[in-house]
Order: sequence, then structure tokens, then C-alpha cells
Amino acid sequence: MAAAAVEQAIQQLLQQSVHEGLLDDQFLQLIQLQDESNPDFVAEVVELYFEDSASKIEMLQQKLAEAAPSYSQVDALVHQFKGSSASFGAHTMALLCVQLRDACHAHNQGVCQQLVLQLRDSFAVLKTRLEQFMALETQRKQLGGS
Amino acid sequence: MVLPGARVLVVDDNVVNRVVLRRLLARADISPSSIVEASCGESAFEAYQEILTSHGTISLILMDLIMPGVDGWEACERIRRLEAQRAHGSGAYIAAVTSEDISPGSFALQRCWDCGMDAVMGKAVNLDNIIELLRLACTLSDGEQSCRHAVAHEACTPGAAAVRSSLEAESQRLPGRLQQILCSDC
Repeated sequence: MAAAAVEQAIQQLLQQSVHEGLLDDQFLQLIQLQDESNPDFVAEVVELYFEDSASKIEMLQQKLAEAAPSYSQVDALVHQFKGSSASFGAHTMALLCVQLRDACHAHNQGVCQQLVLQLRDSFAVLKTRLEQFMALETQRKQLGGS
Repeated sequence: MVLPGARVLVVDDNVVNRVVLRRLLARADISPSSIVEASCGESAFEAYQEILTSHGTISLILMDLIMPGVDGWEACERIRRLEAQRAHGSGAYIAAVTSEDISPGSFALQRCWDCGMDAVMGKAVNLDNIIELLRLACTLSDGEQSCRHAVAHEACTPGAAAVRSSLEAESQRLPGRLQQILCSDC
């Protein structure tokens, strides 16, 4: 694909992701932070967010599967997850974390478990979309884009 | 903008947040060697103490609030006590960076003012916010605090204009320190 076409594909993918609520303006600002002095910043943050999120979702599922979950521990995890999602620009993830905190405060195990499943599914969609984005970014760099 | 000799302490228990803040600071011309990171309140206080002991300074602290062990509020209280004990000039400019509810009247916001923080902002930090915080930290370090009274922006809802209001009660709690609520949507 020619460089212009790759750039257009990247913009369309980002617009679609924002339109669908997967990502927000914060992620677009993170992209702007990448420059020649730190050419791999976006890849670094994406990878960190992937690892951190996957780990948190697994821990949440484990804790909420217990007979008597520690809601304070769950809340602490969700709070951190909400913060990292907000910093990253993962809009839907952050919103789900807000809902999960509410369910946690209500000690509603069933709703908490459902919301964690929604987080897991939403993360899967986001991860796929970001992997597409990173693949296009790699193409763009290989074609000499800045 | 460069705050000459500025050192910034970034305190957050999540690596994603620390990496983003570090990059924002770098884009605001803070060199990587001038950024100190801590992953909890305890290590933040220890890092600050160590820097003061070696006669260094921290101009700006970006402090997460909810952290395991020593949280951001307690870390701030410890830092302020240390500064008072050592008669350390104007002290560091401490800004909470949080995803807690910091709307007017909220528990988290009040606690921030009570423990001695200078500014509070939400977690979706942008470059403009960082530049503003560095400017405010620079103003504090220039010793202009006696000319200022406490001013707070009303926490913004997306799209709403910021509203300034004078809070004399707040200024009495921390005379001379400018207290700001920064909204990433403003």
C-alpha cells in the first residue's frame, strides 16, 4: 500500500474507533507525543496497556469467583484499571470500570461478574483494533512516514 | 518551556500512567534525568526526603491518590511536615492526578486541600495541563506566593467553560498557596 493510502487507513481506523467509543481524544493525544526522539512511544504504551489490562481482568475474574469476594481488593483493582484506561484513552474500558466500581460498592457479585465479562469482551475488541493500528503504523514507518 | 533545574517526582502505582506522564514531561522539555518515579506513597516520601537531604529540590510532584499502603494524601502530609521541619522554602508544588471524583464538595477534593496539595486534576492528562502545572510550579518557586490569593476553577463538565471563584476560606488554610483544579476538558 502506498504511504498516503496507509496514512488514510490509519486515520479512518482511528476515527471509527473514536466514533464507536473504543478510544477517545486521550489516545489521539498520545499519538502526538511520539516523535523522532521517542519513535516507539505508542507501541510501548500499547504493549504496557495490553499486559496490564489482561492481568487485571484475570485477577478480577479470580477474585469475583470466590465465595466471599473482598470488595475492597476488587475496588482497588478496578480503580487502578479505570485510571490506566483513562490515561491511555480506552474510553469504553474506563466507563465499564466506573460501572464496576458502583457494583462493587453495592457488593453485587452477580453484576460485578457480568461487568468483568463485558470488560473482557471489550478489551478483546480494543486489542484487535489496536493491533490493526500498530500493523498500519509499522507499514507507515517502513514506507518512510514520520 | 523549561523550568531551569527543575526536578519532577511522578508518583503512581500503575506503570501505564507513569510512562504517559514521563512522556508528557519530556515533551514539556523536562529531561529524563530530571524525572524521578515512585510507585507508592511510601517510596515517594523516601525519594523526596533523600533529595532534600542531598540539598536537591523537587519543583513539581504529580501524585496519584489511591495507592496501596501510603496513599497520595498521606504522602503529601508527610512531605509537608518534612518541608516545615526543614524550613524548606516554598516547598514542592504538589498536584494530585486522579480518577477519583474531584467535583466541588467531593471528599477527595476536600482531602486534597486539607493535606496541602496545590492542584488537582483528572487522569486524562494532556500536554497543556503539564505545561500549566510546570508554570504554576515555577511561579511558586519564584516566591510570588505573597501576591496571590487562593483561586479555584470549578470542576468542568465536558464542553463547559471554567468558572473562577475566590475561596478565602481555602487561602486561610494554606495562606499564599495557589490552589487550582485543572480540567483536561477546559
